[in-house]
Amino acid sequence: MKNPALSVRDLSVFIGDQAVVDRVSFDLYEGEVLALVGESGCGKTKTAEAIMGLLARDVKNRRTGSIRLGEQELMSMGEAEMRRIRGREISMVFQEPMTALDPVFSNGQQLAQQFRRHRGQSRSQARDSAAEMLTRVGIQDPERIMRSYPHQLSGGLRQRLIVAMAMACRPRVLIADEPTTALDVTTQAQVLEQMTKLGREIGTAILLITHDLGVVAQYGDRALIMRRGKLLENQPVKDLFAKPENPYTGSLIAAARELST
Amino acid sequence: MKTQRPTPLLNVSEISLSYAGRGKQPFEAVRQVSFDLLPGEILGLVGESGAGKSTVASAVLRLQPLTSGKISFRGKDIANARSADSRDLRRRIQAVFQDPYSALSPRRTVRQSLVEPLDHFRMGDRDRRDAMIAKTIESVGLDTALLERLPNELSGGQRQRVALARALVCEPDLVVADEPVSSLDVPTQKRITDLILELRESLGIAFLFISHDIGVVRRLADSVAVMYAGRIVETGPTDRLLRHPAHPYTQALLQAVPVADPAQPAPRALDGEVPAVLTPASGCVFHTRCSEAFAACREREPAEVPVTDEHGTTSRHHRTRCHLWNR
Amino acid sequence: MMAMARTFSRLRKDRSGLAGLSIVALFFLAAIAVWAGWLGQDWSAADGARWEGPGAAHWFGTNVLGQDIFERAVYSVRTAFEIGLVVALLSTVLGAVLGAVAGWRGDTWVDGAITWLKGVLDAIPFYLFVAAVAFALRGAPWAMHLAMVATFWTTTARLVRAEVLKIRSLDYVRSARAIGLPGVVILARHVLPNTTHILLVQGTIAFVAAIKTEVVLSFLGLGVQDGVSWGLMLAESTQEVLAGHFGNFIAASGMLFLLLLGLNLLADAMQDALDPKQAAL
Repeated sequence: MKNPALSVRDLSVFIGDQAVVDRVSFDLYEGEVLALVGESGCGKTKTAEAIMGLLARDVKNRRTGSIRLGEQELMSMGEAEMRRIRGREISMVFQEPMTALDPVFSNGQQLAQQFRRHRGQSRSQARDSAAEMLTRVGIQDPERIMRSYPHQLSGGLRQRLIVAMAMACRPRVLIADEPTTALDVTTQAQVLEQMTKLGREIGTAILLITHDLGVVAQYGDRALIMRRGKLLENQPVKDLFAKPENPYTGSLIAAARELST
Repeated sequence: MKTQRPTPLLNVSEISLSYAGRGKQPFEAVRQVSFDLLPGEILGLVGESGAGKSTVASAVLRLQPLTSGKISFRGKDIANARSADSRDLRRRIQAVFQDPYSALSPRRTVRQSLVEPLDHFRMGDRDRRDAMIAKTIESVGLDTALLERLPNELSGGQRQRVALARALVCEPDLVVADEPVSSLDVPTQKRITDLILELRESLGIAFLFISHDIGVVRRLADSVAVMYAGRIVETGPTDRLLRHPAHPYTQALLQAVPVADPAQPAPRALDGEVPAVLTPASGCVFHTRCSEAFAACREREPAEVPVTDEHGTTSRHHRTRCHLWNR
Repeated sequence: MMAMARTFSRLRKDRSGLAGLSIVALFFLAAIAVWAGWLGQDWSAADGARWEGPGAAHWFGTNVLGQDIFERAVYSVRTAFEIGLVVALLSTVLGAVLGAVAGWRGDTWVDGAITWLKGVLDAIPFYLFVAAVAFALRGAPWAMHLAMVATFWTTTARLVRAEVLKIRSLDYVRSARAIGLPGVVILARHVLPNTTHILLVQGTIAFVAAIKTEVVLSFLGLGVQDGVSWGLMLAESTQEVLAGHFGNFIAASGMLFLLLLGLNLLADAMQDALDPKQAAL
C-alpha cells in the first residue's frame, strides 16, 4: 500500500471545553475519493476547517493531534506557511461557489491566475491551460465562459469553474464540502462525475463531505461516518453498505433507502 | 373501454406566461402548459431550477397574469372572476410556500396568523372560529398551546405545519404547495408528506405539489407532470411514469439520482446546459441535450401524444411531448 | 409585546444605553414639570441686576436684561422637547407612509415620483432650505416645525422603502396577497410593523436633528419667537461672551450637550438592541 497523501491522527477540535471533533484518525490516498458523511452538526465541516487551518481565530477554538501532508506536519505550521499550502497542495471547494469567485474579474482571468501563480506559466500559456481545464470539467464552450463573469453563470457552471480552479494547481488533496447540495440533481451528476474523474486522472486525493448517502454510494471509494464529533466507521463503500459495523450507519442507510423507493 | 375522467377541479389549458426581458426580448417562462386536477387528487409538478414550476403556481394563484391560455376552476374561468366569485376562489385555492422562515408574519402569533383568513373570508363567529382553529392546528399535528407563540419560537418543521394549517383553516378545495418540504431535513420531510396524505384522505383536498425532488413526489403524488424549460414534457400516473418514463428528459432526471446502494448503476450525467434563451430557434426545446434527437427534433416542436406501454396499450393519461412517440 | 420586552431586556444590559436613557428620562421629566407649571416659570421676569454672577438668588446668574439664566435654561427643556417630539413624530410618520407606498409600488410611477421628490429635497443644502421655508412662513406659529418636517422625512422614507422592497417578496406577504387582502391592509398589518426598528431609531435621530436645527435657526432670528430656547440663549450669548459674561453660554451649551449626548447614546443602544440580525435572543 502506497503512502497516504494525507494522514490524520487523533485530531480533536475544541470549542471552549467541548470537543466538536473527538480524536478522529484516517488516511487519504492518492486518486481515491473518501466520503465523509454525517448529519448536520456531526463535526464534518469542523474537521475540514481544522485540516486547512481555517478554524475561526477565536480564543475558544483549539485543535490537537497530527495532520501530515506527505512529509509535512500541518499542525505546527504558521499562517504564512499554511497560506503557501492552501490552494497549491490542498484545495477546497465549498457549497456556495460565489464566496470563492471575485465578481470583478472575468472567469478566464480568475482561472488563468491559478496557472500563473501556482504553475508559473506565462499569460498566454495560462490562457490555454485555462481553456483546456474548462474542457476537462465538461464545459462545452470554454471561450464564451472565459469571457463571462461569475454572476452570469448558472450554479452548476460556477461550481465546475471552481473545481477547475481548485484542480489547476494539481493539488495533492481536494476537500469538497457539500459541493452539490444546492444544485439540481442533473447538475449534481455532472459536477460530481467531472470532479471525481479529474481527481483520478491527476492523482488528487478527494475528501468529499456530504450528508447524502446516495452520493457516498455512487461516488465514494471509501467512507467515514461521523456522529457528534466521533468517527464511527471507516470502510470501503461496498462493505459499508453491505455490512455496516455500527447500528447508526444502518439506520442512516435505511432512512435514505426509504425515501428513494 | 376507457372510462371518461370525471369533471376536473382545476383545468389548466395551454397557458403561457412571459416576462418583459432585460432587453426587449420577452422571456417566456411557461409555454403552452396544460394539465387537469381532479377533486382530491395530488398532482406532482416536477422539474429543475428554471423549469417554470413556481410560475405555474403563481398563475393558478392569480399572482401573475397569463399571456395566453385559460385556467378554469370548478368549471369557471378564473381570470375573469368577478368580485364575489373572486373572493370565493381565493378561499377555495390556498397556498403553502417553500421557506418556513419567511412563511409567517414575524410579529403575529400563530393564532393571529390563523384567524386572518377566517376573518377575511368572514367565516363563522368568534366561537366557531376558535373551534376551527383548534381543530386545524391539531390536524397538522401541533398542540393548541402553540397558538399563542410567535414564529421565532418554533422550529422550521413546526412553522411549515402552521403554514399548512393556515392554508387549511378556511376549508379549501385545492392547496398549491410550492416546494413545501425542500428546506426541511429528511425525517421532517417524511412526517409532513405523511400528513398531506392523511389530510387528503380525511378532507378530500386536492394538492398541486411542486418539487424538484422525485423521491418526495413518488411517495405522495397520484399523477406527475414533468417540466423542462417552461414546457410539460411528460405527464401521467406516478407509478407508470416513473417505471416507464417516456421522455428522454424524464429518463435523464431519474437516472441522475444517486441511489444509496453501490450495487445499483451509477448516475448518468446529462450533457450541456438548460438553454439560455428559452425560446429556441426551432424544434424541441430539449434537442440540444437529447441523446436520441433526430431530424424532426431540430425542426418542429413536438405535439403532446399518448404513450404506448410495453403491452401496446395506449393510455390517454400518460402523455409526452416527444417525436420519438409520434412516428 | 414580546418583541418590546426582549428589546428592553437587551437595552438593560447595555450600560451606555442605560446612561443615555436615564439622561433623556430626566430631561423629559423636567419638560413635563415645566409644562405643568412647576418649574422654570420665571424665565421672562427681569428681576435681577444685569449680568449678575452665579449666586443664591440666581443659580447661574442673570443675562443682559436681568433675567434668571437658570430659569431660562430649564424652560428651554420644554421648548426642546416640544420641537423634538413634534418634528420627530411627524417626520417619521410622513417618511414611513411615503416610504412604504414607494416601496410597495416599487418600479411604478408612484415610486418614481416619491423618489424624485426625495432626491430634489436632498439636493438642496439643508440649513439653507429650512431657513428659507421658515423665513417664508415667518410669523406663522409652526413655521419652524413645518420646515424641519418637510426635510427630515426623506431619510426615514429611503430606509423604509428599502425595507419594504425586501419584505414585499417574502412568503408571508405573498400568502396575504394570495388570499386577496388589500394592499393597504397588508402594509399596515404585516409590513410596517416589521419596520419599527427603523422608525424608532430614525425618530430619535430626527429628535436630535430638530434640536440642533433650532439652534441654527435661532442664530438667524428664525427660531422660537415667543418663549426661550437654548438656541436663543446661545444667540444672545455671542455678544455677552465678548464682554466676559459666560453664564448664558455655559448654561445653554451645557444643557444642550447633555441632552444630545443622552439621545445619541440612546439611539445607538436602540439600534443595536433592535437589530433584527441579533434577534436570536
